[in-house]
Amino acid sequence: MVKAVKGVVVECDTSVKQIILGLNEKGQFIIEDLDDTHVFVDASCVEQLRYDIDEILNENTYKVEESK
Amino acid sequence: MTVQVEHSNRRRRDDGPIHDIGEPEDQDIDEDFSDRLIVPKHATMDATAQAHNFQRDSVSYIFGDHDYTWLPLKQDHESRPLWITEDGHIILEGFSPIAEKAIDFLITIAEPVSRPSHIHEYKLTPYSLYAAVSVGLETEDIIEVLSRLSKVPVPESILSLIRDCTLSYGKVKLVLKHNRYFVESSHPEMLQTLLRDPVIKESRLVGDEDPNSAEGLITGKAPNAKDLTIPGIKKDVQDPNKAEATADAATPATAQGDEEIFAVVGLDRDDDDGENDDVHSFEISSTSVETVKKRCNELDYPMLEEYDFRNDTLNPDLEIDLKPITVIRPYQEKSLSKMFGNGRARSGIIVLPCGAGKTLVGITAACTVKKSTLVLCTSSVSVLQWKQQFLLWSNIKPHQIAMFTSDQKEKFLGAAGIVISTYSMVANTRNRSHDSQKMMNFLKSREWGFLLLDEVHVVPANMFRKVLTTIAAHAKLGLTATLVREDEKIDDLNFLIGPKLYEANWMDLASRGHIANVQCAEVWCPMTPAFYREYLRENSRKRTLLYVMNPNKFQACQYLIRYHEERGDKIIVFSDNVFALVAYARKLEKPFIYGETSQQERVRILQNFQHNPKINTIFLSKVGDTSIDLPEATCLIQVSSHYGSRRQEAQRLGRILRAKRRNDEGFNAFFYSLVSKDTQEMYYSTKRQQFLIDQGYAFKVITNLDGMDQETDLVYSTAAEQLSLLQTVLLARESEADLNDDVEPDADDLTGNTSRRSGGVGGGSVLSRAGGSSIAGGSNGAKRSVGGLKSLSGGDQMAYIEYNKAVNLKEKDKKADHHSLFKKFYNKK
Amino acid sequence: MAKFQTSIHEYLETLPLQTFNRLYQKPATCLAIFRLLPPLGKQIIMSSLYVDTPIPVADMKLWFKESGGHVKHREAMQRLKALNIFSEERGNCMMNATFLEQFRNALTGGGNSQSFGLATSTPDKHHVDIAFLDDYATKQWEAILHFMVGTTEGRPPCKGVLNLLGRSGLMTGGPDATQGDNMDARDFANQMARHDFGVPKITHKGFQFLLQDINTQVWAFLLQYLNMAESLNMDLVEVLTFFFQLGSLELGNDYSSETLTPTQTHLLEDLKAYGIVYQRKRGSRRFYPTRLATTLTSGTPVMLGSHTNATKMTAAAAAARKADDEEEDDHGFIVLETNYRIYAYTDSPLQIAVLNLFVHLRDRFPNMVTGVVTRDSIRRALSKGITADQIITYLNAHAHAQMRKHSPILPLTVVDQIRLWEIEKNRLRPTPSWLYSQFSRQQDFESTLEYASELGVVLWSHQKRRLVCITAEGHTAVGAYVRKLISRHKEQQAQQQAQQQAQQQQQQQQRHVTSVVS
Repeated sequence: MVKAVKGVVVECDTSVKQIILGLNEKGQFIIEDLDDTHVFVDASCVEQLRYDIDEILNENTYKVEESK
Repeated sequence: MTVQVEHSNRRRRDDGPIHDIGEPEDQDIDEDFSDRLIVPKHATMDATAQAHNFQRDSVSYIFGDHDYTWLPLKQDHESRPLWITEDGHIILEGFSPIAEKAIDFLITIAEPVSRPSHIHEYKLTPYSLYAAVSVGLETEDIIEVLSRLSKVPVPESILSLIRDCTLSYGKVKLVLKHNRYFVESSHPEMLQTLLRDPVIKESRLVGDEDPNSAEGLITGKAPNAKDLTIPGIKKDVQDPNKAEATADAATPATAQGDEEIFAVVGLDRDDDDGENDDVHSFEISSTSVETVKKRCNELDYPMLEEYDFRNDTLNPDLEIDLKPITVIRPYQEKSLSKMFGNGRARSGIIVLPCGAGKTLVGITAACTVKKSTLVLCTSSVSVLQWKQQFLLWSNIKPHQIAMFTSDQKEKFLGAAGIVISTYSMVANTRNRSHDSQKMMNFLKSREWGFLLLDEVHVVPANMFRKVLTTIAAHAKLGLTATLVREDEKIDDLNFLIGPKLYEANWMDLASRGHIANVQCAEVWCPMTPAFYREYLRENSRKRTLLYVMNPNKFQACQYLIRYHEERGDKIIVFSDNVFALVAYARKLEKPFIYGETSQQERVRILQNFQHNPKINTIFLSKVGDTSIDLPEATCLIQVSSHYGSRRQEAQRLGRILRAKRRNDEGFNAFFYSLVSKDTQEMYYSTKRQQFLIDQGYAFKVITNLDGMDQETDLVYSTAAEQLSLLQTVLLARESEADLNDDVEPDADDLTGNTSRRSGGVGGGSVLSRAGGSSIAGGSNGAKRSVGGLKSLSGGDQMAYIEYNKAVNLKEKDKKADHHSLFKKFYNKK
Repeated sequence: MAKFQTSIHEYLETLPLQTFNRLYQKPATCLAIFRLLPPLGKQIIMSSLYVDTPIPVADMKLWFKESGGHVKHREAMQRLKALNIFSEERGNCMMNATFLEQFRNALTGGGNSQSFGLATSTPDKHHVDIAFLDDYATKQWEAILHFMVGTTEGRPPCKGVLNLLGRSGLMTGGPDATQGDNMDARDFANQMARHDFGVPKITHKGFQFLLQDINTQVWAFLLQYLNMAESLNMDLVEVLTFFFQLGSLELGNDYSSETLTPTQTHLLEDLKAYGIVYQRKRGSRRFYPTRLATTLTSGTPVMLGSHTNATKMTAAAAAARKADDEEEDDHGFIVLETNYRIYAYTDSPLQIAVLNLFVHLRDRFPNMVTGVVTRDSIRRALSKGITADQIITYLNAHAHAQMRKHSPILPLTVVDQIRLWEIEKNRLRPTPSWLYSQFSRQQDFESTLEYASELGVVLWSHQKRRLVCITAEGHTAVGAYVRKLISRHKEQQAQQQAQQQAQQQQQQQQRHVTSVVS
């Protein structure tokens, strides 16, 4: 029986994909892991996901401090 | 939660110690240190903003305290080149017709913040003003020139900063004349103030006052640079100051009023004009010099040290001069003219980029002073290089130059001479061999006319302290490429050695061909999914290993080596991480040098690199940061570096700045940093670049190496190979990720170096953490043996690898001997 | 530079022939449209203006050099045809008769001269000079821009302006903004102006608008006005004619407002609010065009003073300088360094507010502000809908003369980095969709995939795993297809079953029969 599920297909690079997989271990939101650069997720989690990924990647950014 | 932990980890590393000298953080010695080094209170002051009443508008809120619209523009502001803020920031139009003059002035009174192509920034600090005064500028001169150059009136807060900082700074000098110490000043009232202090009064030697002086002070003529020749300067221009004066006059005034502005920019005027000024002094006993210096700092009258070497008759002269063919460059001359501006030798620091000939500046200074000279550098390799340079540029007789290292304990013959040693040889007070002790006695027993301190930025303050109290030297010159230190402790050097006398502009030197033009690039290497998955899971130490060993980085490195070898470049690949260094070099089949490489092996590899057309690439660990001089190199690739160290980045760049081919038409050297994308390495990489970016260097980000995808035979191109590499990395001990486990095992390396070589013992550092509770408070040595036993018994499921037993043992012995201050640090580790 | 011309042409090209014929009845309009043409278009018109017979296309081609020339010729002719100035019939080129006549009038001063505005015959007792007009125009126009960036100093702009801001999508009024389209323009203005409506917010489009040059901004406003005019039952031709007339007026002169049509009188009121014209008081018999008006069709970018007294570059001074040399680089005020620091020679709160959109500002002097471009400052701008390209274009357009000595003008590494920061923001690209799975038969999957591919709604698919992602829009169609596929499949099954049953029955019957027979 064919099944159709509503959600969001997320396209991303491989690193972001790995971060998503990591985050999914804490809260299950992946509906279907598609491939290295695609994942199908619950629509309600996208904003949180965006935020979490930003947080993780922000860690790797040096901010030129203001020499005030 | 984990995020926060990592955060603090990171901060620790950034602000952390200067590892390759291996000394604990300066913070650790501070408590001990602060009571000895009294920093004048102005040194800690800052220009502060005051409340101003002015018409704010709709965008004022954006600037907060930094809205200076209340400073009115002067009528002819367009012909004036700079703005100045209330907090001491100076913004200079580099394209102004009088920019060059203004820069000369600013570099003397302020710290350069950034010097790119169009607009430069400087900052006035108490230290920079201290330096300005010490090279002879007077309070009112500084204020007047600054006012003339500025488009806006100099804010009140800046005026008072300048006044406060220059009022007492540099007005009192400690002069050694005819082997007697004098406290000298052209302001007799200041001497009177000092003499009211009981401590100073007690140190005074009475009986030799000038009977003509009512205050009981000795009065004489101020010194000047007449008849002093700095060697190496072309003969037709005898006096650097005069040369500058002519240059001033020759510069055509471009707009009305410019002449007026120029008039006071003639910086060295003071040195010339000083001829007619009277100076006053009183004598103090040589035994109380330290006490008086300290007391003067406390009283906020820090003394400048000047050595009247021409009138020193007690210390025998050293017969040394530059060889006739040796000619120094204009900027080297300029820096020396700051040092010898008034005919005496001022103590201080000269900052020149790597490759710009710091050594020659030091040698020329020694040739000017012509007294016994002690040179201190960071490693025994440098010792050798300094000796060679002395013999190359000067006419010093080989028997007059001696080396003092763990292997060489020579004394020079004759009454005067040169000794070259390392900081640790001199600072290390314990556990000396008989020979060393004899040598130390020799060093301690005599007065040195000149003390040359190489690479001052890497040496911890306490080590300096030790050196400076052990060695009696009349003039001190510190040399360095970068005064940046991640711990911002550099300022203390100003009070230990002296003010910064000169700092060169990198871009300027590059544009004049003194140093090579360099193309800088940061190459982004995406992590492979498998490596990144592990990276996200691992703790921060193992992460280091994962991002360094990223197969994509391997490939990028291989590709760049191939590309540049085909272009005819000679390539140095740097890796701080030894695990990676060995893995990369072996995989790519290139020779490599790291701490444990034997001396013969090093020499063999370096000679091949220099002369063998088949050896075009070598891999170096951080041993190559300072002590290896390879002018053949034209391309540099960094695969792993020391966290966010801006200094290391500058130093590494320096490795190719002296490229032999730099004056070839259109020549460019290349500097690549390979960075694994989306890892901590990105953070460090950006941070590391900040100093160079402020010097005007631009780092191009390369997200995709053109043509790399067409290469067919790159390493680790199959999934299986990548997987096996990943397995290797995952099985590696965590300590492999440490960067500081690679230093020269020479006994004469700086203390602390070897003691941090925790990587030498299997899993030592991990275990010391695990076993911490049971052995709390135990000595470091005990901790380590626990780790070692556990490893041996396989208790921690780690493989035990014996690296170099002998060294480990030696280390352990040393450890027991460490100063109590250091222990604290080890326990922390 | 050519940005605003493109947008007017695009607008004009949508108009029907009749409108053009009415527009071309005014010599001023003909001249204005002529002035907006690229040089080659102008040349073609001038060459054919006094040729009274149709020109064979082949002949006209001879006017141009071989190689390249023909391409440019074709482009120019296409534009002229789109504007209905030329038409081509049986291999001949013909100029629009109305345009021909009125353009000749424009050049010779014949015909209805009022289309160039009627200068007042008596001197103005309250005469104002160019400096006053420049100041007025600057204040009015910048008040609008200030309102958009939220740095309003005085009163908010009038209803008309608020209305236009809302209608053009440069700002939204708040929760009810979506109704704007259906609302009567005046209601919308009322809503925007009403206090309880909430503070109007600048939109993505609005931020982009701020980074454009003034000519482009003014035209964007006027074109929006044209769109609105239709819904207000204003005569489009009258409005356009008036715009073009304004473009032909002379700065510093006053013109009679008595000859204007009621529509144009109404228009005058609105244009006053934008600072395009000045009138001492409502109903006054005369009006003055400002520089915003007189440069509408001139093609030279307006350099409004924006009270840059610091560099003494008032609009008047700028104009004077422009007369000296056609260098337009002089008004560049931004220095961007390789270390990401920015130094902007400006005292204009507006320029500062615009810079503040994407620069971390630090110090401000009477004639200069300093700042630094950081990841955060760029990300902030990106999140407002400003693109990396717009920032780079803005920096390029306003680069200081010192920067222009270098090529490229902006430091490459900084430009790259701004683009990288933009890319970094888009690392996650989510698309709402439906995931179809558990196809029991490969052929069902394949035909569904084929069907969806034809519709262009496949986001991702995997043959072996029989998975396909369909866009939200495609779901209805694909869903129906799959249902049909399945039901057909079921039918077939049912049929087969039925057949089988029938066969069985038959067989049984046969058996039965045989048995019976036997």
